Amino acid sequence: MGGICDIGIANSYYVGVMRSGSGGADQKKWGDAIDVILPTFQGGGTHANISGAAIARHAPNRAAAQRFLEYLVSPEAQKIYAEVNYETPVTAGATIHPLIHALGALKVDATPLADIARLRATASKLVDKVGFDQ
Amino acid sequence: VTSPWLVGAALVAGLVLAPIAALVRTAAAGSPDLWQHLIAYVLPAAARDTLILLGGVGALSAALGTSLAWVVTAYEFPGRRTLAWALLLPLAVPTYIVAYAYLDLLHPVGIVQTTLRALMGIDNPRDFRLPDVRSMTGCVLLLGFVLYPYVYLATRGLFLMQSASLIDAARTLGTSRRAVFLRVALPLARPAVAVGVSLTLMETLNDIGAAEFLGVRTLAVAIYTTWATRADLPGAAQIALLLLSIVMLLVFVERYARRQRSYANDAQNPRPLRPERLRAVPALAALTLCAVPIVIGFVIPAAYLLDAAVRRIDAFGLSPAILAEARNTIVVASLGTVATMAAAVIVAYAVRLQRRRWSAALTGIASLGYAIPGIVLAIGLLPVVTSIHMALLTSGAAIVLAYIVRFLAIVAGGVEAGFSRVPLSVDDAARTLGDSPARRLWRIHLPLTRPAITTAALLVFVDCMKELPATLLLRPVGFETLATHLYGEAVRGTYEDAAIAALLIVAAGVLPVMLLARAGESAG
Repeated sequence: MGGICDIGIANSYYVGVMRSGSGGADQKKWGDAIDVILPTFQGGGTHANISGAAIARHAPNRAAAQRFLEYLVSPEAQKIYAEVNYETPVTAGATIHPLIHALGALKVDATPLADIARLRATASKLVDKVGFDQ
Repeated sequence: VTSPWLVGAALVAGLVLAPIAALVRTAAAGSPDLWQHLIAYVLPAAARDTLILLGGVGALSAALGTSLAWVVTAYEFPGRRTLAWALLLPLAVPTYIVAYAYLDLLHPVGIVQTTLRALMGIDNPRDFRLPDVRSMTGCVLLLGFVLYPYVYLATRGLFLMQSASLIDAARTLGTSRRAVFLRVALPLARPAVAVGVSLTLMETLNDIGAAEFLGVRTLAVAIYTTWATRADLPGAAQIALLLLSIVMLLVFVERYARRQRSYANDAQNPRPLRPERLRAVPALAALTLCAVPIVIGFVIPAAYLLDAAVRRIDAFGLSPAILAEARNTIVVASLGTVATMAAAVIVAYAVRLQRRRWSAALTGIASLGYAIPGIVLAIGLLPVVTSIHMALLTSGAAIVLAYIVRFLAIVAGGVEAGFSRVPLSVDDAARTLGDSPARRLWRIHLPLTRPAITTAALLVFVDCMKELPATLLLRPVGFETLATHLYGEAVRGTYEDAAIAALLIVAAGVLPVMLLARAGESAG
């Protein structure tokens, strides 16, 4: 940011926020100045975070919760996600925000999220080991 | 006969001891290979950083606190009276807020460096950079400049009480004014310096926000990340025990230093030190010396927060979220204050009713909690409350329990001192008139100790408002206070969004400083 770093790692929607200018003129200038690369992992794709939702086992309003989840994956809600948050919609065929679309086609890494979650503890030990935060 | 008061006091003592016991139990449940991992990769760096930080902050606050206390006590110069209390103002800025303010101010694209570059005609931030504030040096400096008032307060109190005759004697023996400070006043003030420094160090150990934002991986930060990002309670408990043993060592050193306090006290002739009037240049130097820590520790961060908050309100107005957070903060801080006051009154009154030596041990136990860093307390309290009932966590009651444990010591001393001023014969007289213990407390002791209790309540309220680590860990899902909101924004790097919250916390923090200042004025 501000021309200080050679390489930075960030979520793609921050690029959307910065380039949209909603964070101010400085942010737009910095956002426009960077080259975005969607890195390719060994498996041939990019790691993608998900905004997940689930119903708690003892939830009192199951039916309503399920309807809400169904709404979240409806074209209408997916459009809101893309427009307001600059996130990539999960449903096929939903419109991607032009600023995000311009970053190139996103190929999601094929590793199942359940595997990633299972390896979380090991990964965090690795973070300690290599001193990633230092 | 066991009085209900004694049972209450025992419960309070139990509440303080339970988290420590739970910590030991949880730590023992950890797998040995985890301990190996911690020893190999986490603890050496965390312990080293913690010790360097303690050494640095301790040395800086001791140097600042004692020299400032001496300057405002031994010399007379314009502005001295105002500076003497204004030097306490940095206490109003919690460690995580001073870090947060300076991170934004000193960021490569922040106001300071941008202005410097503009003055020098440099366009690219890569061509000119100040040293990064995100470093151990930055952390030591920032914590030192907001925590020195603990040393200043303790040492100034001692300098004021100290009889001038020893200093006059040294002067007649030909000691220069400067040598008097180093060879007479300072050695005499050593116990007060030790007390002040140990308070500073306890605050340093309690901090998680500043160290984390500034990239210093202390034990407290390691505890938080081990729990929050790895959900590993045994691991967090193991590191917490290590931190707790450092704290216990500090408490021991502080008690030891305080025991030596009685030497060289000329009680017969308490003629106070008369400040020496300084001429123009030395007076200006003294004024500058006293003004610098106030500017760094209070004026700059407060001005930054005010400016950022005003811009924010201009652009977006007061968001409903911040109003909800302010309300949450006031609610939990009020509940925390009332509960802490009640616990302190119960303990002090039970001890008074009992009139036995051993019951005083309850007061000692109840006061232990202040030394337990918030994050350690939270990790210890978590298994305790969840094993009693999950609702303690989901309702936010766990936060209130944590506040009681942590802040009881602040009130206990005041309430006890207040009660001790009421002669026991008054209790006995009321008793012969048929008043029950509860009625006596309500009709006699509480009204007579009201000033002490009101002061203590204000101190506790502000401490609850500022409290970060325990609130962060024990709050219900989705429950935000001003402090936790600020922490969240700072972790995301969106500093300016939390300026209003930070400003409100600092504004509240100024209240007890004014109270302390008034108490100091009446002392001399």
